[in-house]
Amino acid sequence: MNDDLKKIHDASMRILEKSGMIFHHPGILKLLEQKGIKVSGETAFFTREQVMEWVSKAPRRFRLFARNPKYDFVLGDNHIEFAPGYGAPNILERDGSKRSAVLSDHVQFLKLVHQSDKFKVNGGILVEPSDLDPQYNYPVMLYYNLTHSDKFIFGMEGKADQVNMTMDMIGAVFGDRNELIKQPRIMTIVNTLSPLRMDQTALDTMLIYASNGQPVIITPAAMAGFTGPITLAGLIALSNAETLAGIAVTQMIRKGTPVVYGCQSTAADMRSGAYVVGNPEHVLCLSYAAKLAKAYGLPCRGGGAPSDAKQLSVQSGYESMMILLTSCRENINYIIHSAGIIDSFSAMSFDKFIVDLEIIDMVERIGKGVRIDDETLAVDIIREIGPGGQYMTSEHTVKLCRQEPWNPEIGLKGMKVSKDPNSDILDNILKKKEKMLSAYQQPHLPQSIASALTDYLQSKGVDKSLLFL
Amino acid sequence: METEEYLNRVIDAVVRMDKKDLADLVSKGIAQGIDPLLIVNEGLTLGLRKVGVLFADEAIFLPELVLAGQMVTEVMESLKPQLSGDKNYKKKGLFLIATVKGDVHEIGKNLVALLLSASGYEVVDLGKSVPAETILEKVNELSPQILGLSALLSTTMPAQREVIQTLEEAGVREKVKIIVGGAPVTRDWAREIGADGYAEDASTAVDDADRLMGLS
Ligand code: B12
Repeated sequence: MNDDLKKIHDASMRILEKSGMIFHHPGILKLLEQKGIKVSGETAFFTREQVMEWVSKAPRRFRLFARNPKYDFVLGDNHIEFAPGYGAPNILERDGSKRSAVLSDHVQFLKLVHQSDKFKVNGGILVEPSDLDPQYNYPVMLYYNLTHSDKFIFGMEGKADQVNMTMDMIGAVFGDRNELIKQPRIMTIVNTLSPLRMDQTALDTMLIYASNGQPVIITPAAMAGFTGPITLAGLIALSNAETLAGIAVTQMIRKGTPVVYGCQSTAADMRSGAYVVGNPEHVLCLSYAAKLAKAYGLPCRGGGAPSDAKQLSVQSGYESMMILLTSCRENINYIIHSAGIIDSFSAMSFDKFIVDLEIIDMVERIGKGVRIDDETLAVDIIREIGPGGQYMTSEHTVKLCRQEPWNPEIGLKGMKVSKDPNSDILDNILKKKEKMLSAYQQPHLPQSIASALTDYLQSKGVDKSLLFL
Repeated sequence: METEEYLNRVIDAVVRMDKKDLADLVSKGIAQGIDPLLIVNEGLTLGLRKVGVLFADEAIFLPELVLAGQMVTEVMESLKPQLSGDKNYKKKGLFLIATVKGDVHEIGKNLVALLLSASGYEVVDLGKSVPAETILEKVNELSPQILGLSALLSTTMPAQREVIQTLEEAGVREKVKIIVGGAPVTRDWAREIGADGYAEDASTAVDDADRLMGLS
């Protein structure tokens, strides 16, 4: 840890010692007390030794298992995995109009995510469908995640009964709960309630996931000047304190349980009060979060390609690129919101989803860096061609012209100018989306498992018509 | 100092958010025998209105707007002894506010509450994830003029409807005006569930409350 990180760490430790953290959950409070943490009312005060000792029990890296092993991956070190936009209740159309998302949008996004080689993960709440009863929205979405993709399944935070249904369903696909505990099959975000609180729903989710051996991502989303200090150093220290306290609790629930250090803290628009994601402050928060997580030896989550823009636009482009590029430069291990999310996490856009795939592709290319060896330094070729020569017709160029430079799929390059370049790129976006959807093939799921899932959901009162879109 | 010049200086102190100057000016005015109701109506309130206009133009930022409101509220509190005999002075009304059950998003609700109290409402904040029954109890206990319900999740929007139904069943729906809000909430939704008002942000929430109170 360098001096700056040490200062932040030290501040976080003082915060947990002096201010403490509220846990709105009698069971968790009891657990904390059992482990010798000082609890007063609903507030727990951790000494720095206590926090760091529990945090040190969390694994440095762990493997996540998909239904199709081709999509298994390791979370940790400098490995990066992208996940799509998450949680938005709206769809933003090309013309800037907004409508409530429905289940068929979720399914369409499942197909697009399944088709894209940028993702080993699928699901979560790709959109929050307005046509599902909140009583069983998550289990129904999970059902579609499982039937429409064999990638690793991203879960969701929810009330205890829904999270238990999640575990039953995952169990039905991957073996019972005794099997489940051996391998992470589903992972979810668990948010803290800044400043320095965790609510009952979040803690129920954490308890059920952790006791079943399934990983959670502890994520504060503090807003500078509202739910955290307006100065970034304080905001980062506060967020760090919350995440570490959350991680410590996961280890008290079950030692060694896989857990991810998350941070989604950012600025607030001081003119209106809105939550903002496309700001430089977001970049700085996620950078520090990544550095801290790595110093603690924990896998981390943050960033993405979000934007505050209200429509696919210049603004959505530059903001998304700014955040995603930084996320990758910091080697954030799990980058949620990498595609499709817009309007400060309030909406998903199909157009933006396709644009963001291109942004990911560019950022991945940058991440690969420059290969430096005799062949790529090409000193012999430079000598051969000599001062004043040209490289276009050299064998070296001809041989490598397709693989060396990055090529766009939707962006316009070159000298061909049409009357309406803007509509050209929009056409490219639509074409790519349609190509992906028409190439989609539903991965095989054994009939016995599929019917086990539908029987289960119907037994819980889910209408049959919802299960056969 | 002429009364008009005096009132302009009060307005100016509010706009500059100069707490000390404002307090000095007000006690000086009282000592000089200026009508406290005049100070409130033609000084403090006009000052706040000016701040509101500057906020709409983005010349004043939200925390400054809130500060100006709090500053004026404090000064008004200090004027209470002088004003209490005067029937013309009272708070705009009692506003009860809560985030509905199952929803812990509270930043927007808090902002709405801050701006309402800064603009002269008495606000009682019931907090986050508040069950309909608790809201009913509080409506019965406090008889607010307006009830504000916040929902930030599309999945907790139905809880707004539930509150309205609970009040209807208890026969108290007509006693209170209801305003709903929160990012996924729309005017159409407000109409569908039978709310009286809707606002998309905190400053329009104040406008809508004023409208329902017949103040605008
Ligand atoms: C900050 C935040 C959180 C914080 C909340 C912190 C807090 N103390 O409030 C935390 C991290 C805890 C959180 C948790 C969750 N969140 Co959240 N959250 C947000 C976020 C990013 C910003 C909300 C915010 O504070 N905005 C700033 C304030 C000032 O604006 P506002 O709330 O809209 O309020 C304004 C207006 O709406 C209006 N208004 C508000 N209330 C009222 C009331 C009245 C009467 C009136 C008139 C007006 C009014 O005036 C306000 C001021 O101008 C939104 C995305 C977004 N951009 O909205 C997601 C979002 C709302 N959350 C979402 C989700 C899914 C969750 C979780 C389920 C997380 C998860 N892991 O999946 C949990 C749910 C917890 C629960 N049970 O409630 C989704 C909602 C999806 C949906 N179904 O609708 C969103 C859209 C993000 C996303 N894509 O995932 N969240």
